[in-house]
Amino acid sequence: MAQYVDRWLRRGISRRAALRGGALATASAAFLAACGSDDKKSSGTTSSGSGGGGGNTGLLASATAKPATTKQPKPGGSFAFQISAPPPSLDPYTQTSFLNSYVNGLTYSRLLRFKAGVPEVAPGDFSMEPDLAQAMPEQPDQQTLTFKLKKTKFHNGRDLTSEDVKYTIDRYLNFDKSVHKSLWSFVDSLQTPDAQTFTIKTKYPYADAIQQVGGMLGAYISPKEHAESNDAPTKMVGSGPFIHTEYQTGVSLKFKKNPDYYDKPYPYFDDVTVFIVTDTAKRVADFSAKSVDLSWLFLPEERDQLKKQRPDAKFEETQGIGGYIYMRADKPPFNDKRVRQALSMGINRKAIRDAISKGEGVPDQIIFVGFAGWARQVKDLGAAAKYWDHNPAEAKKLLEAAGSPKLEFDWHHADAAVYTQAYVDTATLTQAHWKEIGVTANDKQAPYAQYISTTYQGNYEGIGHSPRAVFDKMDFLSERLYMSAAGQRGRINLSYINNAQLNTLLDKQRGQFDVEARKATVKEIESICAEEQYEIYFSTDTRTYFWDSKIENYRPTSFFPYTHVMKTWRDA
Amino acid sequence: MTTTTASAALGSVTGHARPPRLATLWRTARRKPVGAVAGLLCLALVAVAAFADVLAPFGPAQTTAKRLKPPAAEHWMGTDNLFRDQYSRILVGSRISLGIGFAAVAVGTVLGTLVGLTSGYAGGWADLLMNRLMDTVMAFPPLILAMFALSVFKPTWITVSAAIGIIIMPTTARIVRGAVLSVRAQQYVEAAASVGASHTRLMARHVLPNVVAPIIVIASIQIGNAILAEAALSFLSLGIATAEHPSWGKMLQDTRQFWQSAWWTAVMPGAAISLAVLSFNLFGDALRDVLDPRLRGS
Repeated sequence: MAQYVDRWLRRGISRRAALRGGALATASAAFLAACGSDDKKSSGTTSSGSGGGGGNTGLLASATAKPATTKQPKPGGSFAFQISAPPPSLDPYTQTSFLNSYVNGLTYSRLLRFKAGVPEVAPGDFSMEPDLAQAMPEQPDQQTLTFKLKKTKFHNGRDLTSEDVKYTIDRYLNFDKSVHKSLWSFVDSLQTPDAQTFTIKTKYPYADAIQQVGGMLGAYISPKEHAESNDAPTKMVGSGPFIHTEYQTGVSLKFKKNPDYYDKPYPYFDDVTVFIVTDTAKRVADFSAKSVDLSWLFLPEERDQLKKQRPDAKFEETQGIGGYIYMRADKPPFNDKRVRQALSMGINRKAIRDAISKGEGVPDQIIFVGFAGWARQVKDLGAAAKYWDHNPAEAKKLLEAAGSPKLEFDWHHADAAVYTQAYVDTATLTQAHWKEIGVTANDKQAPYAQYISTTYQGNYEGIGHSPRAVFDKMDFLSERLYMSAAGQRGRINLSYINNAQLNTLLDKQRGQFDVEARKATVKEIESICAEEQYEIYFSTDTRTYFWDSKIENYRPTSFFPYTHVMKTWRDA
Repeated sequence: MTTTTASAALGSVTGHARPPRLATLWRTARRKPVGAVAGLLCLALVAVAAFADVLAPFGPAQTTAKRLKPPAAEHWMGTDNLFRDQYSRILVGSRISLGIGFAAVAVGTVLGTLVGLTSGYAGGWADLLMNRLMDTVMAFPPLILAMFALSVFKPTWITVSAAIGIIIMPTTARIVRGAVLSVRAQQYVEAAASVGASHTRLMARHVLPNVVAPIIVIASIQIGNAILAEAALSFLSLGIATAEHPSWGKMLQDTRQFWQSAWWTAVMPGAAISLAVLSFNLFGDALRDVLDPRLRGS
């Protein structure tokens, strides 16, 4: 991280830009201290009490950057891994699905990319490195980022120029079916002084511009002729390390090495196969049978099973972010914060952790508690921490005070195929807990494609339930909580939150390049969210990644794009 | 004229009084003790399904203080991974398992009887066409066919019952067709035809009543198969079970991760399925022995 800042400083950037680099460095270092663990450790201690109680943090032991591999890369061969469900579509403009981003990251380039995914970088470290850009951007002032592009071609053979980058961001911003408009709302203008130079002018000083340029979603660059073709949902044509060759819907995706890739010597593998395996037991069985090289997102029960079945395999545990419930806070009964608080107090989080995560994890909140330095543990949230405690008696009182002693509504969520049985079990248990306080939630499961295009776009009544992604920038808060004066929701403001105080604070943090000042603002946001309970959070968990012992230079990442597979090889 | 009518008439002529039904039942039970026990178990299962709410000590979705606890006095069949009492869930789960079982058999029996009756009575190209159609349905692995149907149509009481009904229909159709072929050649059918009875009347009044016995037998045996099919579909998440309305197959699916460490999560729902299937199969066998004149006394 220090090298990252040093490089920026050597390149003569502005003081503010350097401060931003420092901010990222601090944030990442803090995150390093909070996430992951070494290969031998399986700490996963249990919270000593429900809700915010307990002195034990319950988080995984600190991770540090591991030494970089000293082995000589061995190019060639094949690599296979699994994803848990079919991507709803392969089109990066119209999808927010993590599944899309996994495979988009193999084929499409971004201007920048995450460093994470190699041993020397911790899984949750969200620092960036140049991808299509020759170097990190020049920033003559807080509102200008200039990128020099590497000379390369798309997989269809056409030269990639700055006009293509401009087209891509413009499409993310203005295409009527784009689901990433809010991500790029900071953009004022896009300029292409020449074929290899691209400049972004922002409307205001935006502290997370670099993170968005290389982010998990809405950052993949594609040629116009493909983006606007009918093939876009089923085929990927980018300029990344792997060329997409085949898509068997619901079965697998195949890729071959891009021989003209701009970052030599990557990629090492000749071909990559991504199997779509919706059944967790089959994923375990396939990895146990050595049918695939890599499999992941296993919860503690499966982790322990796989450790026995594949004692030879490498593995790493990462801190999983807690899932959450959102609700129509713009409508009765959820527009009354006492109802929201009661629902939170009606949940026995410890029982849920015991049931789905062998007791591992701690209660989570708006800012992932694993993000040390920025997030507070729930028990440190002051008076509002009590809303994480399982307290049915108090919950009933709150519901009665709100005039809703009996409530009935629908609970919308995806089926177990994509987010595992643990996700559905969380819903089942919560619904059972709520029965005790007079709340009936009618379970409405939907296939993933239906859920992601309805509930997860805010098209639901009652409440919705989703997992969360580890965020790649602090301004993810705006995506969740912001409502513009014109009534435009942040991309995943699924609770329809419209709180003037929050909006002001979100605007403020967005432009704060000073880390301590931004932390103070974020803390205020955190406190409001804890009190209001617009979203109700469950607990963190432990998610384990397994990979074959012969696979080298691989490490899990908390982020979606699997671009880092290009740096991996088989030491056969 | 039907055989029933003929028998009744014969009885009155000879002056023999029909023996009391209870006495007949008792004699049959003594002759077929296994079938009698199976019949009682079937009745018990139906009663359990009807009064599950009263009999279950806990709600099917209600959580208790204990997770994955082995069978004990407080929880006869232990608790599952989500703190729920398995005994209560098995009792309530009998509703879907038996309900779908009966509904599917009703669908399969009605459709199979219609096809078999029409096919056997009409003969000729209609018989050929229907037989080939049944062959085609039977050529598909039954579960795969049901899975396909439920992948297309969202699982509901109606679609699951229909899917299972369709896979059991060809067997019923074949058995009914065979029986119809035999009955159609009887003189009383020819006699009825000779006095101008329509085909519909002949089928409904003279043929169908005389193939009821095999229909009852095959239906009772098919209930076990339908319960098994429902459990399989639920296990594959293609059933209609929810947390509040469990089914035995879904209970197995929900806990399969814990089978090694908590045997009762596999054994208890599995035993419920086995008991139900075995009961209906043995009862069906006994019924066949009783109703089939060739097997009477065997």
